[in-house]
Amino acid sequence: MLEIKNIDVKIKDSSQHILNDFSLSIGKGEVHVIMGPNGTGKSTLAKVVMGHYKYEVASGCICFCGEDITDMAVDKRAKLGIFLGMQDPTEIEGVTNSEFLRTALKEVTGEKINLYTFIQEVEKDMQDLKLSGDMLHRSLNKGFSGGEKKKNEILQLKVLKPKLIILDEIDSGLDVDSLKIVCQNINSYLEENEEASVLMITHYPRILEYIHPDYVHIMQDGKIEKTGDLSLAKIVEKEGYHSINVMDEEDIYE
Amino acid sequence: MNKIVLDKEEVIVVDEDLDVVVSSGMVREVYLCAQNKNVSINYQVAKDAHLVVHHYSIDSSFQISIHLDGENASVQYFYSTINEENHDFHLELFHNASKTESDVVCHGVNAKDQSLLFDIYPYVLKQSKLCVCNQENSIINLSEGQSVIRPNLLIDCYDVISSHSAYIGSFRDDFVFYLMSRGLSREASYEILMKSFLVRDVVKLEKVFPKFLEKLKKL
Repeated sequence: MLEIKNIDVKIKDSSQHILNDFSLSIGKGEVHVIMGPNGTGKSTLAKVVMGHYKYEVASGCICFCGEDITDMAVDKRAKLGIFLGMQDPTEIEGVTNSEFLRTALKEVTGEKINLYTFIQEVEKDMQDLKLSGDMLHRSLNKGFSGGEKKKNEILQLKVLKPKLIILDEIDSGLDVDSLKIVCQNINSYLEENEEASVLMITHYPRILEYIHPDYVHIMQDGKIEKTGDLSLAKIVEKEGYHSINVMDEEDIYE
Repeated sequence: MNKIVLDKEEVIVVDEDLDVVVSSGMVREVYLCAQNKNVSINYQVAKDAHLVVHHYSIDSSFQISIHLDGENASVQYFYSTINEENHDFHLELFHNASKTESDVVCHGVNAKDQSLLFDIYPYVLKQSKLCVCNQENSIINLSEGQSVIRPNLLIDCYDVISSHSAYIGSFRDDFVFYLMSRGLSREASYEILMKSFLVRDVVKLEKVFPKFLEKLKKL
């Protein structure tokens, strides 16, 4: 589904490189997790796949479902089925959640959606996420708590139905109950959409108790240093990132 | 010049200079709509009266004068304009009595390579104690036009609560990125941002000044 081939990524109008010769392949229905110390380029990777304006792919390419998206506009990537659940979702005063979501759905599906039908469908998703009904009529993420913002990202995911879900620290700022609700909703989405894949960035293996990864990658200095499964995340939690250089291959897979 | 004593919610299509009066103790809301005009409007707000103005304009210039004449008089002034030619918005606001309150919000979209000026002058006189005097001004430039904001505060009194701000530029890149990351095209993102920036109540505006929304769509 997603093929990242040997990309070098730098900040636009700067010589500062963030990702170096980075490659990653994600197949249909797979859940990949990326962990790593602060400042290694995890969030940059998520933004680059979405086409963020601050970064430039200096070399290499990104392909999604067989199509080269390296230079593709952000909205076209979203229409192809890529979704980025952001670490700190943007607050936009005056743009209501309902207007935004309905416009996004119209743009993605190409169909005009009746307001009544739309609200009925979204209300069900909101109930699943235990979001209060009024948030649909509030400004986008404005005045939302950390938990509400993250749940709102998952609400958008459920409405827009992407093929590739990138979650950038979706667990940060969530209390135990909210984390459980968010993960339950992601899991039920994956059950309903078996071919949907996940690229999840996290610092904490706690979320992996709810969303089970097929692969865990450890990033350091802008590239993947180690790949394993849940065992790798557990070792890192116990022994720290410095331990990955002395691990045996048999330890990092269950 | 027309003189209007507001006795209910009013929708006024502005054609010529106006005097608007809000009598003592009244709470009034007015919608002003104007296209291709150059008009002066004078407001007088009496003691304990509260006035809310929703002022929408397309390619127009205004000289506004607001007098808060009695204690506890207050005004909320929301000005939204779409500009494609050279236009000015001059607003003078006189806190002539104590405990008067003003809140001025001016938003403009300067769509072409022309000039748009917001010139805001609130005065709090020495004898006007315990006033509140706030203003917020923003102009979004869609092209290479020259936009100017003068967010003045002329305060001759020590116990005033006051704030002023001015922003000229484009919509923030992170706003546009967020909307586009959900599938909205750049054009659709700008349309939704401009609507939220200029229009406080879409349903009401559709009824009172649909031309404004039509113009917004064409930008």
